[in-house]
Amino acid sequence: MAPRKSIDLAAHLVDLCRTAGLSGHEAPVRNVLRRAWRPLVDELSGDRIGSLWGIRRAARRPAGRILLAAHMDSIGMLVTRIQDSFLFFAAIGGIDARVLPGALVQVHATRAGGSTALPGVITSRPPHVQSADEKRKVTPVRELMVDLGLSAAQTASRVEIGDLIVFAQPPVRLGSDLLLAPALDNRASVAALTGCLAQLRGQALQWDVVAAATVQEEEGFAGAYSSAFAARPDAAIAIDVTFGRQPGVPEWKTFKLGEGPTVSFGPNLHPQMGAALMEVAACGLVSIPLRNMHTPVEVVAIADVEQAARLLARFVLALDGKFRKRLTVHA
Amino acid sequence: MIALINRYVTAFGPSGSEDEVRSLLQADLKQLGAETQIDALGNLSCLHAPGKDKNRARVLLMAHMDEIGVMVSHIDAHGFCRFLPLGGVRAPWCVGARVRFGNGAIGTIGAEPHEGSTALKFEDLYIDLGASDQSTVTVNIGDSACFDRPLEASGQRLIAKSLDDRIGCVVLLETLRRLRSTPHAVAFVFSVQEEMGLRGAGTAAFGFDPDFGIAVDVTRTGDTPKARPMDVALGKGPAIKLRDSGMIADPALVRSLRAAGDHAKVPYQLEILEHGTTDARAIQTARSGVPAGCISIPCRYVHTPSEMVDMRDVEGAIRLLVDLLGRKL
Amino acid sequence: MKQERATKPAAALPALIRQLSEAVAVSGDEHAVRQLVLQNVQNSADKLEVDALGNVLATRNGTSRRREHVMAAAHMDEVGVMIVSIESDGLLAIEAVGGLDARVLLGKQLWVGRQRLPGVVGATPVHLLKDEDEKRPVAFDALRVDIGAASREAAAKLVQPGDRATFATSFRNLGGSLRGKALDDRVGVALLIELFRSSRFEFDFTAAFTVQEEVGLRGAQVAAFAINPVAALVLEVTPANDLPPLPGETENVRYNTRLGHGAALSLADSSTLYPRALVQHFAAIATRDHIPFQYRQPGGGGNDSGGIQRRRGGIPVLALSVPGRYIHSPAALVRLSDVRAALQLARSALAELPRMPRRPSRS
Repeated sequence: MAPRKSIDLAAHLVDLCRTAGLSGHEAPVRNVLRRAWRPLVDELSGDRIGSLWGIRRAARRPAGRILLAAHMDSIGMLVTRIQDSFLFFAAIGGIDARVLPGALVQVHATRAGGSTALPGVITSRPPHVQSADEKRKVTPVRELMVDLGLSAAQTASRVEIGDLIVFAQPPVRLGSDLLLAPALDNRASVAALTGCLAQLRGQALQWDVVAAATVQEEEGFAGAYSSAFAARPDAAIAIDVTFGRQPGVPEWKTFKLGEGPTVSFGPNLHPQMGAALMEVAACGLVSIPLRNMHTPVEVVAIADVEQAARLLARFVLALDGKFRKRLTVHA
Repeated sequence: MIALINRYVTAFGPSGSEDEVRSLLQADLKQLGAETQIDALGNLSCLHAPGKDKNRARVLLMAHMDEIGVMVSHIDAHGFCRFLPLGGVRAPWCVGARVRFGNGAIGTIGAEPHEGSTALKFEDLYIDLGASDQSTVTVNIGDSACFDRPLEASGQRLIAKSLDDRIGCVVLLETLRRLRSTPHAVAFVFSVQEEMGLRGAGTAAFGFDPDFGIAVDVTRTGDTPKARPMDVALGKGPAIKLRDSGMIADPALVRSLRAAGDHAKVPYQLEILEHGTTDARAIQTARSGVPAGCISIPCRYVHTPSEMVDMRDVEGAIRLLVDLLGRKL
Repeated sequence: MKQERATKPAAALPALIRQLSEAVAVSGDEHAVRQLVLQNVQNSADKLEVDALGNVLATRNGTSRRREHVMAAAHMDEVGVMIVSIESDGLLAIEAVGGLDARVLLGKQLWVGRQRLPGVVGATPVHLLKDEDEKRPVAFDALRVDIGAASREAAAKLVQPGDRATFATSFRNLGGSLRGKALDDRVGVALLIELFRSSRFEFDFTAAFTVQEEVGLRGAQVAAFAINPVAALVLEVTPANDLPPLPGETENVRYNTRLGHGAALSLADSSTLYPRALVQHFAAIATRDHIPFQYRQPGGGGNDSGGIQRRRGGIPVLALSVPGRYIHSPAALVRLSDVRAALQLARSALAELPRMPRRPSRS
């Protein structure tokens, strides 16, 4: 039995959060995962729309198959129109327009070939020049622009309509226990998958395990459907984030950070991801509490990510023939 | 005196561009044999101190030279000029008004189409100089204009622009003309930028360091249809200010002003103004504080292009001040 | 005027602006920027003092026996927030320091306290907002700063009420433009440092690095009173609201200033009508020397000029500004060519400053 190799999950998570991976454009983050998973799995493959599968095979056949699925895409924006040196944009995924004015961003500019990350900022109007009406409203996304600080000619020669825009908020430790970063929804869950695979390394398994980093959750759960269909699992667990406790939201809708992930089984927990998986398999859901969801400053407790990884690994190691039979009886 | 008033109210002098008014005053003061000074902000002053008493009181009389107006903030490709108010101009009063710039250019104020249910804003207005495009516009960003109106006399009543506060300037001039002797050292100060927030008055008062200060300015009246109640009317004499939203007049000085009115047999009114203030406020807070008061000329339609005063009130104010300054306080 | 330093001040400017931009100095706690200023001017000053409010007043004696005194001012402080209480859950309640819109704080990272702890202004997840709240701007008293402390006790070990916080924004040189926090008025501070170090004028020249501009022009008032100059120049960053018209709009007529159009001369703002003679002098020098300049549109806003102009018997003052987009937000944007134009214009126009009437002049 090979020695179990521990990995620095926090560093891996920071790595994932630094890497772009907007819905439909997950290649960069997929490449980071490929590197991280290759030594941990028997086979790397994927589905036709870009989900990445890390597969561990059971020691003996026949064996059950469990799918552990987390989406790797994140919310962001894309350029819709270029006027002078300003970029109008549209949201990818459910972005909160309230947090956009003054946000730091990066535009992945492709006009000059390749992809160059250009720093920019989303427009805001200082209090000095705002009318009374303006002060009473949230500026809608269609009235916001990205400014790269370039001249109109420079902008036109570098940026193309459709270029991607991501938040440029660097990951940072908040106190000793928390991590702040954009895209923690759902890179925190993806990191938990990596952590789980690391824990399973060298262990003999009774079930096949398919760790799937899926695509386009933020744009309609496409990856979850395709992975669930193609992998044909007997059981599945979705890993996602849930609302962490914070001011402005009722306690009963939220979970405290640092007290572990939430676990639930059944069809209606995660309305759509769960439903997608339920079509093919018995489904569970593991959720990591997260504050400020869908803003550039999402926050998780690192301990919750580590705990989610341990929980998944233990669950997988406990799977045996009896569990499969139990599922069949229920079905 | 109507001719004198006419010269002053038709002069160009929005806040910050008081040069023409100052020149008129310099010439008139020179004719009276007075020596004048101009300070760093542009306030014009002349000291009248005929006596030799070392312990005489230093009295400051002040009227402001500037008037409300507009300033160009943008000129578009077609030559239309966007503008901002200088002082308490109201947007709805501007439509159709004519404005005159320092270089003589005349324009009319137009409004974009707008729904009657909303209040007109300055953003909706523009000055049309009759130019065919930007290149033929003779004014620049930052140029100021005043409203353009001739003076009309209707019996005792005068209708004109900028009676606020050219009528005060004329009261000061006439007071100096009629003041034969005074035991005090009296500074007649014509201030700048009152309409922008009493900006000239404070530095002028700092410079002269008076024992008493009196502003001469206009005040609102309560004698028009559905007017907000106020116990001041046109033609009932000058108003001695008790308080306004920026100042409580010095009670001892108010007593002296009332005594002067009684002594000179000038009917006067007592004024409490709810909204608005005058240079007297800035005088009061100069250095370590100066007892200050204000003589007001009642005026209807203040800050519109057609303000109205009554000559009897103007005459009364002059007589009251001459009486006050002619004797020991 | 004679050039005293052989260095290339223009090339050093972005580096100096970076240092100043990344320092934290919310109004009333200007310590960090004051230290940088003192380091940068001490070798060039004939007289250097920090007054009771914390203004840095650095003076270079003039070359002429005509001992007139001219002042130039730039403010060291920036807008930000102040911690007003630590709540039981370890979150921090805040108040604005200066003209700060609650809407640009939402979902932004902060540096908290002098030790620059990472913190964040949380935002209720959009999923949990009621429809009407999605369209309503957040109110200041609903904002909380999260420093990752789980309890009041844990938070109290790290911060205390009165500590200040500002946006955690690293400076970026964007090639032609500079992006950073607090460029209002660190760009002005950098300009004044460069101007001070590289010029000796006929008149005595005092560079006043002022405190508390953003909360009411407070430092400049006492500095102007103490210096009692014959004229003053304020070096500022003024809003450039030169965004393109939105769909349905025809033309942006309230741009205030435009990026890349040169240094901005103020004509009128809500606190000052600038004396024509000074405006015309600067415009004439700029035209003669081909220094790009523009007029700031007359309008609202104000700067230290308002605090200086009406001190004592009145002081003629002009504001020379670098246009800045998005000031009072996490990241403002200025154009380097405008910064350089402002430096060149300030230097040339001051060197040839006409005589100002010192005391009331007789006609």
